[in-house]
Amino acid sequence: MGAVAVTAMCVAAVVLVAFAPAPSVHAAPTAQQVLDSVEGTGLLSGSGRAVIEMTVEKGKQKKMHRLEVFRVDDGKGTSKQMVEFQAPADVKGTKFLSITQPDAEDQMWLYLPAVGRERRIAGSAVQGQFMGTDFTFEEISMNENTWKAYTPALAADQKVDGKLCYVVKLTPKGSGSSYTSVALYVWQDTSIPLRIEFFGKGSKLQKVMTFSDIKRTAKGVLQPNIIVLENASSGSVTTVKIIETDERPISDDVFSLRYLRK
Amino acid sequence: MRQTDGNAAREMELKCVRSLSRFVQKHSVAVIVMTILLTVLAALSATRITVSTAVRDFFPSTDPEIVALDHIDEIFGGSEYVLIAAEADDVFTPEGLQALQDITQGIEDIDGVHSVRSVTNMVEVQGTPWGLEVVDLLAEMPTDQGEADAVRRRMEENPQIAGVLLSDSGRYTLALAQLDQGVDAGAVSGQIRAVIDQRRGDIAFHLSGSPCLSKAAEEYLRDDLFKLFPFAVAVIVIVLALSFRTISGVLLPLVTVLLSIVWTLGLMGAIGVPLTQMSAVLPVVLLSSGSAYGLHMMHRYYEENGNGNGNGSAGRALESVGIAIILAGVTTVAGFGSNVFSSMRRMREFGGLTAIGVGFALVIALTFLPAVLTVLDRRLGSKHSRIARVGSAPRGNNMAQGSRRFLERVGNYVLRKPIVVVIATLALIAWSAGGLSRLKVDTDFATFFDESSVARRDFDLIRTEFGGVDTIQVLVEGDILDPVTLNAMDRAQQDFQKGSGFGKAFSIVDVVKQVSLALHEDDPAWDRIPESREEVAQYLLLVSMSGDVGIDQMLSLDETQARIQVMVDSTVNASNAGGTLEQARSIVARNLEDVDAIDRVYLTGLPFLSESMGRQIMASQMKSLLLAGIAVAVIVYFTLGRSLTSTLCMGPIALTILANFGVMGWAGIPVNLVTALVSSIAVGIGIDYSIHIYSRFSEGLANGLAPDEATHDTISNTGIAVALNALSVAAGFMVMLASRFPPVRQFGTLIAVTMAVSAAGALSLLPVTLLAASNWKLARAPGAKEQRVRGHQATQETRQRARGERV
Repeated sequence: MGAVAVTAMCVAAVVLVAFAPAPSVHAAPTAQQVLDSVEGTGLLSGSGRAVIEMTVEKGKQKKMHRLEVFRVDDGKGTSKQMVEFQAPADVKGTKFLSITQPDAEDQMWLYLPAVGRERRIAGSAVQGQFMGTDFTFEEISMNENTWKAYTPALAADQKVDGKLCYVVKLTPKGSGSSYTSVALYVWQDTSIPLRIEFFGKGSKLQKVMTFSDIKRTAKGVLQPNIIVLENASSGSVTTVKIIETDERPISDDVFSLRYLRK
Repeated sequence: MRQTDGNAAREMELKCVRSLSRFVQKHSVAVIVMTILLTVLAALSATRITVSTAVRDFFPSTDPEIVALDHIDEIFGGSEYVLIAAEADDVFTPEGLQALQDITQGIEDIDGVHSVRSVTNMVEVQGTPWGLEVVDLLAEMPTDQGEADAVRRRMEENPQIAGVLLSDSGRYTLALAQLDQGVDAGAVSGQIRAVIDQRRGDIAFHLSGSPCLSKAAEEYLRDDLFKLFPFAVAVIVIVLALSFRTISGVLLPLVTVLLSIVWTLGLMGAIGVPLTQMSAVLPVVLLSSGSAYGLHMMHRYYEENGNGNGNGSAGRALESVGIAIILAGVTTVAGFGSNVFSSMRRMREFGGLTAIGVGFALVIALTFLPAVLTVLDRRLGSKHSRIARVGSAPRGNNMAQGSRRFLERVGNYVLRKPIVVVIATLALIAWSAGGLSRLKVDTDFATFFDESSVARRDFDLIRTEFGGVDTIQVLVEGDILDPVTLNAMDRAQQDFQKGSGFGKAFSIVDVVKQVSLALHEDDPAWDRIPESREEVAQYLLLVSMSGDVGIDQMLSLDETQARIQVMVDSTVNASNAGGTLEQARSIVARNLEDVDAIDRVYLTGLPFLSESMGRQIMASQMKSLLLAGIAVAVIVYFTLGRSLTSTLCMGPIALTILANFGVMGWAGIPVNLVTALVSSIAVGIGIDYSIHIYSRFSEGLANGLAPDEATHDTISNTGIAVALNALSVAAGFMVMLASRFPPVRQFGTLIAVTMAVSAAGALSLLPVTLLAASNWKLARAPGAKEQRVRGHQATQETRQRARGERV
């Protein structure tokens, strides 16, 4: 459940560290500099393939999806994703294609093998919440544009899992955000956000996203292998585990309706 | 041999009371200080008392119905709803829809609200040429009345809305706010009301559902506590003033019983028992039934004082009436206490607390009161005694003499025409038996409210317009996505729709069918569950990616549990369970049991809770009644000389119980949580009158009177005491007629009736049966009379002193 949302987020995490070098912002940076360093890496940039396991837990209930994700990003605002469901068995072979282009509505298709055809998903669904997870597609696919709508301010440094972090408090500039503020904990050594907190009305903590199990890949790049989304108000927890990553270039054919129906 | 045992026991009792009396006199100041300290502690603890009026709390958390409900709540969020109705003519205007949308959003933001469904936030799965779309039914707010009318027509045609959020008559719209599990439902409903009041403009909204009823009950409860209590105090003051005509005569017994109330409330705070609809009457019950002990003490004290010897009067009073007071107290405690074995938590608490409260009143009357009197005697000396003597002087007034003459006539009549008493008794039995068959159980929570009250009017309106304010829930566990399961659920839903007493039924089946339709150009042939599990799973994946249609409300995350929610008329309860709820059981059994893909089915919901309550109330009532009867019979047997004739005292009590049910049957008073308590309480309090009569009668025989002389003597002397006692208890309970809860009013009335019947029975039926038993004994054993005289001689002194003082 929540496949779309978390898929996008996973790719973000994978791409974040696997494909971008950490910037050097060690000498007492400003809030904007810290934010830019995160932006610079680009949460949703990069291209590659990943296999992930996504588990949503709520009370004693649990549901797991295994997904194969392909992603390409031209670095100019156009990104394409193809997600193939590997498990559970009843949705195996279901494919989801999404194409984001500048100045155009997102395009999304879902291919249902049991029905034997693809269906488009309305762009309006982007604003909605997805079954299982309490995150919206928009929240998950945070990118540089997301943070542009916020005013950053640096708070006192804090440690997350023993790692020293800059804390950037983000306040929305307009009234469009569903949050009153967001706190970004950026690991000073790498510029990887280790924790993102979302606050609602009355400064009430609503959601927390944490990145952990950070390991060096074969190439020596640091990569968080577990991403956890907690919803403080509903009590549900989504855990994303990265099973494998592969940064070899993906053929553009993968991101087509033809491949979708294959 | 038996008689000797009895005497030895009596000696023992007497010895105990004497020791108590000596202790209280010797340590009077310490007793007073201790009592005050305890009272201060209790008062502090009483500030921790909470209020709880929720229906669920009437049950123990281990009750199977509660366990099932909690189970469902855990999976799908709370099962309590606040229902918000408004006139459709008001809502379907540009301003009205805007107001409703604002209200819907406002309620969604309240902590403790899980979700809100209203005509302004409903979505619909729509098929499009390229796929499907989950669209808001009210995507844009209408700007003029024409557009608003169009919205209304669209809603009326929508199967998800018509009959659910728009009444069948089309007159009312409904919004449903689902509360989170485990929140203070009453408080959240209060917040919901506040949001509505703030944003409603000119539209009148009607709120109902169990959280609202619970909230209203809480308000009524506070009202009752503050209104009934002063009334009850006034009644007791009047009784005491008429009895003693002195300030201390009024104040001291009043303080005694007030202290016992503070102690009881303190205990409630300490052990965490909340105030409920039932405990609203607790202070009044304690005032009415617990004030007698202080009154007996004062009575005897004044009498002792009147004899001219001020010093030690309190101690002597205690020694002479102590046993009688304890006897009266213990039977009352047994009556109330018999409810502690009830399976209904609230009845258990009420029974236990009133029993303990009466126990407190008894202890305080036997310790604190004589201690205060001892200190007053010492400090004020002759002055205090003089007031007392003056106070006790006017007692032999004309009114009392008039009553005595009247009762003498009653005595003569009973003696001359016992057959009339027998016929009257038989007639009462026959009449009551007729009423018994009309007796109904009613556990509908709404009957706690007057039909004219706002809470009840709103409740009735929503019930009439939307077919119910409660839902029953069918939880299906198994492989939900298997088409076999979904088809079984579909059949069950269709049966619910066809059955009577049910409103709309909905579940994940509806979503699957909507997707099926949307994917097939709304071709009615596709209004069905697909054939494979994969199709179902992929339909749901598609719809969940397209928008929020509230799947988490119908299907558990792991897809092994689903629920069918069925709106149901909540007047459905034990009295007509043969109808709707039985139908529900058979629908479930017919369609969902013995389906391979289904592991387990639960059927629950507040109506089932009500039904279970009905069953448990009857069972509890019978159990308490039996226990109270046995306890009182045992107490009577052992304390009234261990004679088998003492069991005749149970006659008027049996008659009282029967009459109670007869009155309930004929007057249409249902057995509910509160009225179910009457019979056992009536046993505990009503037995006192028979004890008075029996004591006096056997004393008369022991003094050598012939049975008919003893009967005459008993009725004319003890009769007035019994009548006055019954009158004051009845008056105390009649205060409850001012309650805002109809069941509490019924309770007060029934206690008053039972007091009248038990007193009348003690004054007529009991003497007649005693007389008959004595004559029979005399006839059978000519030497029996002398035997009795000798046997009773040893206890005579005690009995004589105790007898007159029990009023």
